[in-house]
Amino acid sequence: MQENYDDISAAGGSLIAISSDGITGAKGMVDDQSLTFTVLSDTGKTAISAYNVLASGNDNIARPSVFIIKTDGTIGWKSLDSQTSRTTSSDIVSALEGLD
Amino acid sequence: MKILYIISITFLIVFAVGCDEMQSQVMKPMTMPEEGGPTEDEVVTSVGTMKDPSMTTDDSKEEEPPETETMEEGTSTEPETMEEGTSTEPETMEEGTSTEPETMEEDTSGEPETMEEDTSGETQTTEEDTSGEPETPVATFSSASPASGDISENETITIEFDNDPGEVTVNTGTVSGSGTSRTISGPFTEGSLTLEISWTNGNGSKTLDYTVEEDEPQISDATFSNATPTSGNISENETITIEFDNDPGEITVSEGTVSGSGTSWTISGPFSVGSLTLTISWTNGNGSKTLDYTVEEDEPEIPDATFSSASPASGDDISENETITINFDNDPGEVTVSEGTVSGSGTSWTINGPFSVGSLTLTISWTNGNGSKTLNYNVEADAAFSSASPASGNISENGSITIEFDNDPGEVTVSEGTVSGSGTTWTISGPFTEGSLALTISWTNGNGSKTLNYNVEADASFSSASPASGDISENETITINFDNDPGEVTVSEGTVSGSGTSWTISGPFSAGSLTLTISWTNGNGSKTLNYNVEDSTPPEVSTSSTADGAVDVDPTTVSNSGITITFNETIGSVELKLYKDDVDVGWTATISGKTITITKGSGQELSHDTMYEIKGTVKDSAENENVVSITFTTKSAPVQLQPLARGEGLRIGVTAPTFSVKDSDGNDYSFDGNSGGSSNIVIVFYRYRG
Repeated sequence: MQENYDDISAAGGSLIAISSDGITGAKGMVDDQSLTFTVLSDTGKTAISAYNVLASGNDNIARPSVFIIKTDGTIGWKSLDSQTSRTTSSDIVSALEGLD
Repeated sequence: MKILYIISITFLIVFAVGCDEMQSQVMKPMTMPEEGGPTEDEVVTSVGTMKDPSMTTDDSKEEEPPETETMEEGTSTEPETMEEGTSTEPETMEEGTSTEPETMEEDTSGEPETMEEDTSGETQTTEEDTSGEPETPVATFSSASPASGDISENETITIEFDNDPGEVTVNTGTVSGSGTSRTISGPFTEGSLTLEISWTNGNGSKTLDYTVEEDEPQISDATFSNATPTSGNISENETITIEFDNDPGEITVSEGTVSGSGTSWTISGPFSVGSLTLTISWTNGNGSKTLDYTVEEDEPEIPDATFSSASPASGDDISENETITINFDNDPGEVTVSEGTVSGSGTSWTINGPFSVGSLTLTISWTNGNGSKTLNYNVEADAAFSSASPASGNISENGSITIEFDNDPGEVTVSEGTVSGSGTTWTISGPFTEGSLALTISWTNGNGSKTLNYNVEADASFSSASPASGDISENETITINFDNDPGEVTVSEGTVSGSGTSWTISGPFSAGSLTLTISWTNGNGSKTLNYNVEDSTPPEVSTSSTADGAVDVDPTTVSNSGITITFNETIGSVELKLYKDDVDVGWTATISGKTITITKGSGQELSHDTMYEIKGTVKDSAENENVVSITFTTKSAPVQLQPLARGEGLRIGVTAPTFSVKDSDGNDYSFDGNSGGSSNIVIVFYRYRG
């Protein structure tokens, strides 16, 4: 994702990554992968629950998914993924470019 | 010894042959001193005597008292020569080739002289020579010069005798001379001197008393060395310095006044203008010197000048091109300044800029008195005229004109009116003389001036208004009149127009009580008129929270907040209702000033997808009525969707939920839903569990 962050930015998107990992985990990932976008720690599953992406059968983790929130505050695009199939950065760029 | 023996034999022969002749010869005065002996003019030391040469042969005998003293008293019957007779020959004989003295040859008497008072029977000198040979007369002291008193250490005393005194001796000094005159020369010891003089002829003696004073030191002759100046032009009051190699003693000059001491002297004027031959004479060496000069007339003496005053004074603000006037008590001569240009004459001078802007330390120097003075100023930038309001045209007698400069103009003066202000903005106030006005404005910083031309109008006074008061309509036209042109006229409400002395004020005016203030420039006057503006127009809708013709109106929002309609005037009464299909929904209207609010009653919520109409009448307090009709349509009701299963996310199009979590640094992070955001937000949920 970091590799294509510039493309996402160029398409008008600001990237936020959320997991149920703690701050240490989130920080570790930022440091390990030298991420420049925002990585959030949702140990309380607040955002995960609000966006209805709690993993099936596991209340501790999120289902891999992507939401694009338009500037009018509505959800403009989403992708629900699995462990084996993930949305690619080019998909996100295409979605951003295809928004109204 | 051989010579002595010969002399002795010779002497004995002579003595034996002519002892008597010899004896008479030795008593005669010696008229021919022999070679090698002292002459009569020769000096004999004070301890010695002036002797006949024939009497001095044996030093051992000289220590004995001279026989002449005893002879003088007549107790000695023998001449000295006899007593000293161990010397048997005169000195001349020692050297002589002749064995006889010349005097002896001249003695023709062949007889010994007879001693006048000799009673001893021995041979004596006598006062009278009876032998026919000349006798030496007894000498007596006649005079001395000086005879007494003060003498110098090296004084020469001349003494006189009536006859030749013979040998003269003194107790101090040196005797010289011959005949009846002798001189006794010093040196004498400073102090009291008793000079004892003794002489042989007459065996006399004399005592003279003197006081010996110390001699003045001997002064060498002085010669002229040089003069400064030595020639050429000199002033009337020149001082000429002259030098000598030694002290010249007393100096006199042919012109001027001489003073000095030692070897350096000065001759001071005044000297007469023209050619001057200056003769200098001095006593030591009796010298004189002539110097030639040309005496030039002295310049009149100029008194020293002292600084008197400066205008502007030190400490004042001045402009770049200021002219500073300085004064002296006397002519300062040449004047120089550290900045600016100085000019002038006599006691009054001016220093002109430009000067550098800022602090200025101005030093003034002048030659007469070698004076200087420092003045301190703050130099302000020159100011230029920028603008005037009004710049021209008509102004009133007591009007005012505002003028602007680019810099502080310093002091501002005007040809008419009164000027006041500070910095760059100034005001010129009347009264001005009615008619054409050429108003000249002058200022110091930059020494600038500007002339503005105006036409001064007489001040205007309010004359009348029609109507002057009372009820007027909202669109009334009020006519006002002045005695003179009021210039510019302004009113607190309505629109004013006109010219000359007659003007009109037109509505609309706000209904109700009206206090109408009229102001005009010529004379800077004002007038207040009071009216009651009658309301003749109905209230008009200004705004409505639910606009007429609006669609997609959220019925829930409108139901909750009601509908607010604002009018252009205060509403007096209202008959407005909310209709749905011409059926009164039942909402009620309330009045608050210019606003009417229509609110629902219980169970009177608006429905979705429905057209509503607000209609009815509103009246103002003057019962002016207006019919109001506002229609709007509510939006359709939302489709009810089944909630998505767990993990299926949210539907597209729904409002994104807000949330608050922590970021990777542990800071609070809140997502506001991005409503009104600047960019789309991509939220990626992922599993990491690192």
